[in-house]
Amino acid sequence: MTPGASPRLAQGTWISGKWTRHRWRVRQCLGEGANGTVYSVVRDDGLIGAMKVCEGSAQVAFEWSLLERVKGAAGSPFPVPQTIDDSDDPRASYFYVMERVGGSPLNGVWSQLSLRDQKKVFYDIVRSLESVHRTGHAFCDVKPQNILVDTSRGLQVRFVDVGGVTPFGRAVRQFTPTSDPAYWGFAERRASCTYDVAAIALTILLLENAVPKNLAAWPMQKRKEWMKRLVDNVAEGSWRATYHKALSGAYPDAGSFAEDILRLSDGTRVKGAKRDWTAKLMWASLASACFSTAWAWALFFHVV
Amino acid sequence: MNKEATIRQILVITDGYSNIGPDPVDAARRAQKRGIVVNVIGVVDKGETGGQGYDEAHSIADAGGGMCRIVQPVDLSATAQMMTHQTMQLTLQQVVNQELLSVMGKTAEDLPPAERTRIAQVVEKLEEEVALQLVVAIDMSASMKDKVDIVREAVRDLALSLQVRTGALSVAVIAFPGSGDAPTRLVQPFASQVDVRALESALQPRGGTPTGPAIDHAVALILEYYQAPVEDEDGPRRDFA
Repeated sequence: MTPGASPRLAQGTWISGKWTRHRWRVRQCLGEGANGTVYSVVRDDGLIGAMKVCEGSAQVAFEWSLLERVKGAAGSPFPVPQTIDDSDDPRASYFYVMERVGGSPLNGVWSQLSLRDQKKVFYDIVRSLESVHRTGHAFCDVKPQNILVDTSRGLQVRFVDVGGVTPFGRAVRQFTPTSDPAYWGFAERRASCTYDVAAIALTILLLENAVPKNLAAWPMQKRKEWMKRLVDNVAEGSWRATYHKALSGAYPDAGSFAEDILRLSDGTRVKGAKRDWTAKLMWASLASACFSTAWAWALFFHVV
Repeated sequence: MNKEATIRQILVITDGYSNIGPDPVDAARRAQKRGIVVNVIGVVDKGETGGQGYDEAHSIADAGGGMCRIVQPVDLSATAQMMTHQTMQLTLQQVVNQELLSVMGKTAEDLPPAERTRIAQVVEKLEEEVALQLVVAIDMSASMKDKVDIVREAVRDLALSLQVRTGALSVAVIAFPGSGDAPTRLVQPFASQVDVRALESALQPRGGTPTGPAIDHAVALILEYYQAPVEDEDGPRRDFA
């Protein structure tokens, strides 16, 4: 029952599936979570994947069923499930293999993105949440580490760690306090569209603002007041109302939140265009100045 | 609350090695024999690493059929909730496995993995709907002084999480040590939510760490609850004037 009780798989280890007769070669360990360890693997026929190994068969079966359920018709932000199997290797008795999702965690890339790209990523995350919601589930454990952004693929947004996914109406099982609307006093800890909308709003707000050190010792009401003040002081004034609306659960679904993000981002884009125009004017003036000077020198030396 | 459809758990929140009264590992084993799961969260301050106290925490959880996590104070609340859910799932999984064994002569592990996912879905649904009886036992020895506020908020937060489940919640809180010479103190008897005011006034760190007596007290509370005739238990409406 202790995490990390089974030793890690070494690079190059072959894992043979008892049921499917497939074999996978371990390339590297991608990470260790509360529920198990994820490895990058290659199947014997060359298919690349990510292998999640858990202590018990129940956890593996549970996560697999979640991946199957959020798969959706039009592609899921979550990894596509590949195979569920057992092996005789005690280090990987129970496991499943899924699509290997590229990209880096949101908290790592956020500060390197331009304002405009940040808004694009924000918008794409909310649209991805919407597609999860279409399957009747909420993501719930919305934290920056669970959102991957692939900068080499046009900032593609993907989700990892399906373990928190919960059917609408049920109690949330897995969450991260700072991204949890209930922790901040804004919502019940029950899976819904509004829970996810508030959770992603909190996540984005806290990418740019550090939480107080002793937050965990504060009563909920005090946390809520602190967060409201934070939103009141958001630098881009036009966004404040949207954040308040997202936190208070006033958006009925992720789609309407996404539309507001798009509308507000268009404002950012227009401002960007204005800056482009001034830049052009500056370069034009500079070029014409150089040209006139050159022409004047040329006339002076009777070159022409 | 129906006895058959209730999961019974004790959650011990502690920061150190027990030093008063009977061995907590034996107490946890006694709890487990009664069908009660004992989970342990060890709270460490930054810089501290697991010592003797944390080995004991693991042994208590092993004997109690539960889980053990050693966490920083800030992670207490999310960990408490995750452990409660996971051990409920585990208990239900064991029940389902026994049923499978008696009906089909197979355990879940003998079934193809794809079929296990159907069992997982049943367990997931049961976990939401089953009634939960939980005793939170809080270490209030002198060394917990700096963590009282965090522990109080975490316990309140845990109850809020568990209240939104479909299944009924019955939660009691005890602190150890108690006042005077008493090894433990009942902060609140079983109720459908945590009494924050009782929690605030009761959590005053002092003295040693009687973890064993605390687990015994928690077990006694749960057993008493079943012996007493329960009549006005849990209607959908409740008045908290």
